[in-house]
Amino acid sequence: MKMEDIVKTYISKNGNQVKALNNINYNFKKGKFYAIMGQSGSGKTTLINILGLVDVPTRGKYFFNGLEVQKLSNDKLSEIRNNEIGFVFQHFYLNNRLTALENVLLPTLINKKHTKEEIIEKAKKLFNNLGLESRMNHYPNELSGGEQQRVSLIRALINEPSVILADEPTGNLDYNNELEILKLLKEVSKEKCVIVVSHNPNIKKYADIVLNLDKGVLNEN
Amino acid sequence: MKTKELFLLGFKSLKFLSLRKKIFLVIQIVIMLLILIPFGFYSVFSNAAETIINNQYEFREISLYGTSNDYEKYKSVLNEYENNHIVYIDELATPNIRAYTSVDSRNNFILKRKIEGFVPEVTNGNELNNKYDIICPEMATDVNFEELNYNDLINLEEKIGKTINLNFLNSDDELVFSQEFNIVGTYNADFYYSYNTCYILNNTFDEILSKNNSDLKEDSDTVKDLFILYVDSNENVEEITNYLENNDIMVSVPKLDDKIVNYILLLSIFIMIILVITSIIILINYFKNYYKEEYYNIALYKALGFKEKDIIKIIFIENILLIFVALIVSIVLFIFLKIIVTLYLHQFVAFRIAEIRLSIIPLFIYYLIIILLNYVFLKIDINEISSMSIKRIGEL
Ligand SMILES: Nc1ncnc2c1ncn2[C@@H]1O[C@H](COP(=O)(O)OP(=O)(O)OP(=O)(O)O)[C@@H](O)[C@H]1O
Ligand SMILES: [Mg+2]
Repeated sequence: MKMEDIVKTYISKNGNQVKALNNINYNFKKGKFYAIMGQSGSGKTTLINILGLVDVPTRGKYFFNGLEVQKLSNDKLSEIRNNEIGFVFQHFYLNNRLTALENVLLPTLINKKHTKEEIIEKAKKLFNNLGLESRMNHYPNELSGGEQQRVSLIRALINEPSVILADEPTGNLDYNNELEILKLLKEVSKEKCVIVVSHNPNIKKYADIVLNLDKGVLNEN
Repeated sequence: MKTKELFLLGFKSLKFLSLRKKIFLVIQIVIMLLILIPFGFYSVFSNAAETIINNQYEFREISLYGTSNDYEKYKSVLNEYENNHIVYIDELATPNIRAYTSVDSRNNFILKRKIEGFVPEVTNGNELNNKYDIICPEMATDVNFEELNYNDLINLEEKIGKTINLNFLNSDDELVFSQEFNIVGTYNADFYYSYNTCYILNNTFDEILSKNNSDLKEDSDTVKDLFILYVDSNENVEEITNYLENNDIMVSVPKLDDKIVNYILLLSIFIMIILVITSIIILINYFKNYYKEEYYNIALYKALGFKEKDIIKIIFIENILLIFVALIVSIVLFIFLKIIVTLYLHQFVAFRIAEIRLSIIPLFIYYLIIILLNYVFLKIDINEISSMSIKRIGEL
């Protein structure tokens, strides 16, 4: 994933311009675990949203697997989102009408890679790995923040995407759970590109590359 | 996406209805019930109305009309005809006072050989008894008498006991015969609308006729009711009128006062129009802003890589199911209502409850309209959904 001169400017309601990202040039590679760190408001979420095709830059070019994103159709973008990207949103972002398991299965509804049985098998395994096997049939509002976050992570992994993007995936977790997740992400990053946004210094131990975002400017540490 | 999964998602969404959707659901149930009621109950209404109408008269009447020359013929047809449903035959001829007179301003007496339809009830004085007795109108206020130079016919109630000289004319309007009559009684002419009609005895009439042959001026061309048949119920009227008409009898059946039925029909059409308009407004409003309410989930679907056509399918099915619930509930409520009505109301009202029918077709049409609107608005919204940034996720 290559970013060229990416700029993102927000215009707030009172007309002020906020430059959330300022000339980002970076090439994210497969098989690596990236950590993006930075203060609150430094533009981390904005960056990861653009990487995840959930937001568009104001200026600059973004290439996903060599395809220039701005030139792709809506349907093609959807396909990439579904097949190639697993996104863990900062606010978990679960469908409150569906159980944890159903939420996890949602992205597979439009994906024909595997049979339903295989998928459910895989989902159960992931729930087990993350200590959520007893929570599979709970609705999101019956789950704690940390549990919701893990469900969101399982959903990101279920389609076996080539890129995992996680916006503060450990923000709501205790130390043990955090460790579990980081280990899992580390394991996954062997054949995928994992990009994790975090405030947490612990992540430095797991990340291959730590990136610092300061007022919209990205620096390799 | 597989249809089965679409429906599963739709069913899931039914379990978690927002307040707005709940209100929408209730409104739809009410509208559908209101659509069902006028159609379902219309036949009951009209039956009730008919009962009311029929109860205005104990029996249906059939009048047999014609000129006086038709009288004997009608009578013989009626004598031959046997029909149990004819409860009573009113012969508008009276044995005593068959004849009546039409008196003009100069007391010229024109023979009316036909049979007149009533025995006037004498309100002052006595009935006809003697040969030259005559009964006159109480107040001869008819325009015919206004400019009388012969004022004897005015205020006849005061004339009881006095005499009136009647002139019998021939067809050339020449005086043939003149006879003095004693005014024995008067009747309320207002009631009968017969201000210039006086009554004499049948025998006297015949005698005058035979004495003067048929030279007297006749007035027999006027068509009048000769008989009135009373029939036990409305259903049997047609059979009888058909029979009579086949026998060259002129028949008229007074129309039932069906205003009530028309009012009910008008009212239900009116209700329908109001209903359709309001419900379409409600529907448009609902679907117009639907994607806004569903922003969270639409954005989620997009973020997970659902294509727009998938998202539209999901929402479409969700709405169809929601309205299907309204449809089922309203039908169940309607059947419930019907049972209640059948159990309790028919004790008081004598109409045929069994006629309450479940008319699905208008409801089905309404359902189709909703589905159509749903689809049209989703098609319009697809642009909105396309341009909608999924990025707002963080803010939600
Ligand atoms: N929709 C928006 N409209 C206006 N300004 C925005 C909008 N979204 C973000 N911003 C601004 O852009 C800057 C970067 O926001 P972003 O959410 O990327 O920060 P962040 O690094 O993720 O912060 P945090 O660690 O608190 O999640 C902030 O100053 C924020 O106020
Ligand atoms: Mg953030």
